[in-house]
Amino acid sequence: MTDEMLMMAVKNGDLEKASELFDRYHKPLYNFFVKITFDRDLGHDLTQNVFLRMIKYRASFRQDKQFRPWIYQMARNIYADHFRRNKMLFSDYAEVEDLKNKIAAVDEVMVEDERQKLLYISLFKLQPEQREILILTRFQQMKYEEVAQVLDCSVANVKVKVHRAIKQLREKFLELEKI
Amino acid sequence: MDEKKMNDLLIDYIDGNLTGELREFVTKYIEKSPENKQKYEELKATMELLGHDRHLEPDSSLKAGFEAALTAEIEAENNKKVKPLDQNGWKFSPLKIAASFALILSGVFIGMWLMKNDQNDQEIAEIKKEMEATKRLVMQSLTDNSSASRRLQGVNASYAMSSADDEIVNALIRTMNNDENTNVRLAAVEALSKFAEEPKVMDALIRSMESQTDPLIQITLINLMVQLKEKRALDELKNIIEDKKTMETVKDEAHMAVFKLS
Repeated sequence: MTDEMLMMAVKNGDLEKASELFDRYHKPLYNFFVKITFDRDLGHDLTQNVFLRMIKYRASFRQDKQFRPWIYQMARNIYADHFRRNKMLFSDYAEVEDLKNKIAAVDEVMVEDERQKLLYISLFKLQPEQREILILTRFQQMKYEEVAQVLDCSVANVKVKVHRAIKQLREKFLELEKI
Repeated sequence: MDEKKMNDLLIDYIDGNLTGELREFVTKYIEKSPENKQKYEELKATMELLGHDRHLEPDSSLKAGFEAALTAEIEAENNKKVKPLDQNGWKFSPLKIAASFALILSGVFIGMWLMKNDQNDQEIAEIKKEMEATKRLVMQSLTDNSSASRRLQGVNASYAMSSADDEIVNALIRTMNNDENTNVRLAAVEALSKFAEEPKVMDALIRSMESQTDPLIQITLINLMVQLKEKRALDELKNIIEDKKTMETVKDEAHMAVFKLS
């Protein structure tokens, strides 16, 4: 059964099918959140929220929509809501102390080797929007067309964003390599 | 070919998505100059680094939490379904008679409640009327070209609006950018900062930083960006620093802001 068929079934009252969608999507969404926020507990909670919202707003799913961009759009909204509530619009490492803690967290729970550490620290130094585009296109291998739907922009725009993000990542990565 | 398109191709090239002539074209481009080669090598190293992403596993409580919420939702859904009527038909019993009275009484209460609601509606209508009056006052004052103090009054009156009204926000943006009087422009900046959570307002504030010529307003805007931790302002701040016409004091503030924001 495709994702869309499952979601239509959920919409039409067969709620148990939501379990199947959870199984298919909870890991990528968890990874999406943790790599944007660099906080595993928060990633856990936000992932949970996505699926609760998916059930709550099941009636808003339309047959002509693709499921993956739809659920990721929901995920983005949840992320944005979270930081708006915490008065940190599109969150950022405002405090040096916070930066230190997050890097320590990267060290402890996310990293297996030096290259990975380099990757995540470079990633962490990007703007959250840039992190997001790299997570979607490179880590989650989403097609540009799908990402365009998630971000509600054109495919050409997605390409530009990807370049900018890779360019920035390259700069951060070169800076770190110099150290 | 412009740089953007070339970058596009380089990424596709590294991803192994190019074939035939296009692939050859990019290979030639890379070998054409040491700069191109270096650009390619750096891009390749970055993309190789991106390949080091590790899939993280959530702990099992995520699934357990979801299943519990789903079960609760399924049960709630089942309870909502209407139960069939009693097959035995209507029989007089003290309980049922009491229930009928309860029904009639609740009808009376609902009626009273609805009347009260009507009163509430009237109150809401009055508040709306007041809001409209404030809006009219703001709009009229802001467009009064003959008196700066009247326009200032208009800006101050806009504080009474609790939510960002499109028309007012647009008028405030126009005032901030075009009013001939510095004090009026400054007041508009301050009034707009109240609605800075609206993306449209924030964009206007950022854009305005560069177009303003009065140092006082420039500094107010720069400080506002720092206060709101608005990183999108970084590009404009850099433009201000690079602009030869910018006053030294303003440049200093902008330098400070860039330092704090990045």
